[in-house]
Amino acid sequence: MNEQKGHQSKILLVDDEQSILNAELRLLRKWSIENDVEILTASSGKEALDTVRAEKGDLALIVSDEKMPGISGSELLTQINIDFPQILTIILTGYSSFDSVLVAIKAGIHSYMLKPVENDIFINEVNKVYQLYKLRKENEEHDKRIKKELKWASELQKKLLTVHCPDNDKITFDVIYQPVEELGCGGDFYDILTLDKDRYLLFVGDVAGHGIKAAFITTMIKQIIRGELLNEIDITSVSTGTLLSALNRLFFINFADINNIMVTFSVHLFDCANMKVTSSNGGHLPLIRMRQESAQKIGTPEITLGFQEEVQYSEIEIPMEKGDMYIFLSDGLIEVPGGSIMKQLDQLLQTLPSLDRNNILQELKTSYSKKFPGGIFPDDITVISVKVK
Amino acid sequence: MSGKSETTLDFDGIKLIYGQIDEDNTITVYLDGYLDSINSTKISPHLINITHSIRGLGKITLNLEGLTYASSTGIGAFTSLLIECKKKEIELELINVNRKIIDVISLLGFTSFFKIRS
Repeated sequence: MNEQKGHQSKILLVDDEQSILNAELRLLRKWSIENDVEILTASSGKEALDTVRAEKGDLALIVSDEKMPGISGSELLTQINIDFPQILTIILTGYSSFDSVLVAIKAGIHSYMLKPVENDIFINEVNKVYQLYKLRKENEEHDKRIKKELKWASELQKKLLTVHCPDNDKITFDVIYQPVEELGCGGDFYDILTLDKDRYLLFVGDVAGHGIKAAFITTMIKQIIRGELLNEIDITSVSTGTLLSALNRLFFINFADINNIMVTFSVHLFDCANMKVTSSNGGHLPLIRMRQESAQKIGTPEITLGFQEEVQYSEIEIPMEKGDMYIFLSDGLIEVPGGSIMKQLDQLLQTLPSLDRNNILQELKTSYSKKFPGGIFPDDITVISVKVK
Repeated sequence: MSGKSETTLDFDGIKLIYGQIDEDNTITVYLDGYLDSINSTKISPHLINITHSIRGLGKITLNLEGLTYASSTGIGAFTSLLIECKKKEIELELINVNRKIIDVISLLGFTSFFKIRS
């Protein structure tokens, strides 16, 4: 087995005068051992570039003299900054060359030292820039770890929350569920339960915020609905108002110790045998019904869930007709910061009839994404359509 | 604002300003800027801290004249404060609330829980 361990990092010293290189090596010997750094040298700008390329840019720092035949130090380090921006750079210069150094500093050289440099200043400056390199590297590693965790959270949430969307000769459910792009997971929630061949329960909710905390809350909600709620209540014969009241109490109990949790939620029961939809709403955007050429919002939200332990939610019964389409959404689709949510909701009602019903969710998403910079929604978005056939 | 000493806290688009308790055991808190999902979580602990740190406090008046916008998540800062005020029997009133913010409070079903003067 090869026992030789590689150094943690490498730095490169560049000077056309060998005596200066030797002096710098001696000055940095102790420091290099303490920091487990290998020191490479080059006696010209060209040799330095060749070395960097041979090392595939895997260097922490380059310290270069300014005045060298051929490529000057500032030209060398400016090129390094373009080709290998991860390498930090220090230039050694005299006052007479300072103008060219200023150009290089503006181009991104990290530090300079004016000659003659005192020994301890040289060591301190190299160490200071090297520590900056280490900090950046740690941040990059940390960033990679966070992204990995977010990716895992996103996959888990997707797996847990994806449900079968009923699609038969009576009714079709369709969903677009998209957490905030940067985080991959978020606080929007939906679930669909098929009670029997004619009845379907739709749950739509929004946990305030996004990211991992909100995503964890949604997985708790899933467990509450599919575990505690189904154990507590015979949901085949219960009303949406009673369901929402029970959910509220369960949220209040389960989330009591978690600060700043606000969950808007609504429950809707589609009954294709009796052609009606029953709806209860705790602080969520109201149900939208599209019938023929018009769209209207139905119902008035009551209090957001989890705020008070006991709340008796009411329900409204809406007759269904063949050809109706019901739209449910979270505010992430329409809420433009600074705007009025009511105006935005009214604008949506005006927009909906002009969209192709066969592709309505995608058209909504495309149309509304244009309202945000870069076409990127800053919040989680959930849009659900229920088509009555 | 009076010349009495005041506290100003600034977080990413929202400023919280409050002075001393007055003769009616009331403190007026000004919120300037906007409230969203990010800064509301930063400002919320400071709002709640007001209920803990000021002795004899009977009422908090939140003056929202300078608050141009609050998202539904941003309103969470007010609901958290409301919960804390209820525990300590401190009255909470929102004054100079613009229409947009009233709409969000209404949509969330909180209208009957807040004392609001627009």
